[in-house]
Amino acid sequence: MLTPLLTHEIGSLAKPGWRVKAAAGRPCDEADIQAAASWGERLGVSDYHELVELLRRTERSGDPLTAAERAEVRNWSSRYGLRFFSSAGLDVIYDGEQQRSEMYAWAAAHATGFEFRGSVRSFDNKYYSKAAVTGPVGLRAPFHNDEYRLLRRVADKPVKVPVTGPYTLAAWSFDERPAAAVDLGEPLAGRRARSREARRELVLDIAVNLVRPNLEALLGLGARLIQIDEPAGSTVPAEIALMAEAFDACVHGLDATFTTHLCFSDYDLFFPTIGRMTGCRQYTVGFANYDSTELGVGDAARPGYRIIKRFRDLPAAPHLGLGVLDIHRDFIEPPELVRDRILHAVEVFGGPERLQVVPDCGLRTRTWEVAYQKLVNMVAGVELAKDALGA
Amino acid sequence: MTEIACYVHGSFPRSEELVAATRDADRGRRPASAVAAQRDLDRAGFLALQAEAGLDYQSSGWLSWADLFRPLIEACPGLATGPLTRWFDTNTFFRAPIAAGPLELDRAAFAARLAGDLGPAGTGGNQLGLLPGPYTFSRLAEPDTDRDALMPRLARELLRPAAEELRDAGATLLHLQEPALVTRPVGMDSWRHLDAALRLITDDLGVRVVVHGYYGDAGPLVTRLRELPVDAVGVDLTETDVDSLRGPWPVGLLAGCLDGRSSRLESAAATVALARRILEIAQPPVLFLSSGGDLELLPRTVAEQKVRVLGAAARQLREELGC
Repeated sequence: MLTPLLTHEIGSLAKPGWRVKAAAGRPCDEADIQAAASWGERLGVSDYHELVELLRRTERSGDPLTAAERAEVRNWSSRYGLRFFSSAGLDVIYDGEQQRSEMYAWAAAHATGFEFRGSVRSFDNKYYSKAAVTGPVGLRAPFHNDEYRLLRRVADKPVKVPVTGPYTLAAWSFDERPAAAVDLGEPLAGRRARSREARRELVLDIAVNLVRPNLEALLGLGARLIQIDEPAGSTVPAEIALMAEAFDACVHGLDATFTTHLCFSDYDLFFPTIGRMTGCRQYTVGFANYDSTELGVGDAARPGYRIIKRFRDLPAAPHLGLGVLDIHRDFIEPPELVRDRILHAVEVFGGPERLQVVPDCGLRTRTWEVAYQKLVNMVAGVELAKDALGA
Repeated sequence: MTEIACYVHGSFPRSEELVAATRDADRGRRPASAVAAQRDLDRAGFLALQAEAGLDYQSSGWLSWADLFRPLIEACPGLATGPLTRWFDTNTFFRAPIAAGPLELDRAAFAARLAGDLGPAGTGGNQLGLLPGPYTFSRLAEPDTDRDALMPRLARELLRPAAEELRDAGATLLHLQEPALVTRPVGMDSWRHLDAALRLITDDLGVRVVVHGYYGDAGPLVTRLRELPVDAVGVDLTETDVDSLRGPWPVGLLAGCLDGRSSRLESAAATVALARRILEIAQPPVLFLSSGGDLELLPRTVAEQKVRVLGAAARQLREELGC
């Protein structure tokens, strides 16, 4: 499944204006309708004029969209997302989370034991809605099944399903369970020991009682490539072993290819502990954010990729999803830069067999225009690299 | 007798309305003026809250700051924004400053930024100033020289001029955030350079200066911290054993007794008990009550409740002490 230099994405894609308005029950304006038409044409979305007609109808009537219309628009958004990645040339595709609110909120909203508390800043002007865990965690109902059924039916290429990982769900939540209460007057050592135990209990509770049953449901529908996202993986360096333990608790004994995604971290912190994550077949990791934009191969030319040796040397010899697009900048990486990043990794790994090519992270903070150009160039860069390798 | 005071340091969370306005403006759905108008409302609300809670120093909440370094980066042509980097053990990120040229502060640009942050009338009363401390700045920046040598440069060319601008804008207390001081190893030379850098910032500045190490255990460093040339040193009691603060304290002490990373609300009574214990064992000339890390990592409604607890705890403590 993870073939050499296979291209895939990481997860999110910005939601089109027409999808956002529809979700809010608001009619679209002419600009939204034009965007739906032009992207439908450009991406080759089958029957996209049906969406345009629907949007036009709601614009003319000015009435709020019905629940059925909102669901229909959301499904169109997934079709657009799939074609977005497919027409850009990626080998494995997804819809860019068009069915989900956001990777954390979607999971927390479908779990028991979580209560939303409000927005908190992630960076710059980006916020996310943060919940508190207030009691035992469980799964209300599998929350990626409808999405997967739709994508499987519509996709013209293999589909990967991103699933938010247990450590990240815990780290991005407040813990208001009684077990996590602290008295600052107590000696620090005792407080810390109890906090560690409470954290471990929470992460494993989420792994076993929320994420794993959701994975089992997806496998029952035929999903075979699942990325368990752990962007919070290095938040507390001392807890990397816990993240690894939770990952394996999610996937142990299940029959699929499980990968993980890590980003925007001091990756050195993961080693050597991450080697304990024996159920993980591929690490997809963001590197371009730390790299130079000059061309060249070798450590001096590719400062953002110095760490990849440590992924190469992991005992289980996992694959590496090499992040080659900086998703926080509008800079469009030229194919030659993508090529050199790949060739550098091939040199370090001694061949392309364990390498796949991905953006650093989900592309939702970029416009579709920027994201699309980046992906098209990523695929072109892979072709240049293959040419250079004689593959 | 120990002076008791309290304030909220760092950035304060934005309201849901400001988050929505900012998001809409980013996507072209609302004009920038809508964000500015909502920010004014947020600031006014925060000032009113601090006044109602009885806080001794008023913060604007620094609601336009993208992170602790950005206002300085934007007012210093020699600094550039670097990669998105995790802010200590949190799920918040900042852009690392890259020292790519002279560190001279464009004072007019910084002053204009402060005017926007503080509003037309300033915060009124005792106003709080905020800057990154030289040690943390030097450790998180990508320097064009060695990190220890960067500290006095930062202090002289950037932080002192910025501190003067804050003072001129009305600040009577300058809070220097120094999380790296208690979360990363500090070598002997680094302490010497930090001392020199702090003197460059504080000498004849004319406002109180507090250096605050948080997110880490200050206990093993207490002897060193007490010798810093500042008016008070802050610790984070969520990470520090209160008994490790045993005195004598020739400088003031800021007790970070609210957990800025937890939505669980502290009780005023427990906070007072903690403060009483500190007074017993440390007897500092001034005890500031505040939070460990910024309250910014909380939803605004939760942070507001913590501000009320802080004010109530300080009031109760003063009543008990008769001051």
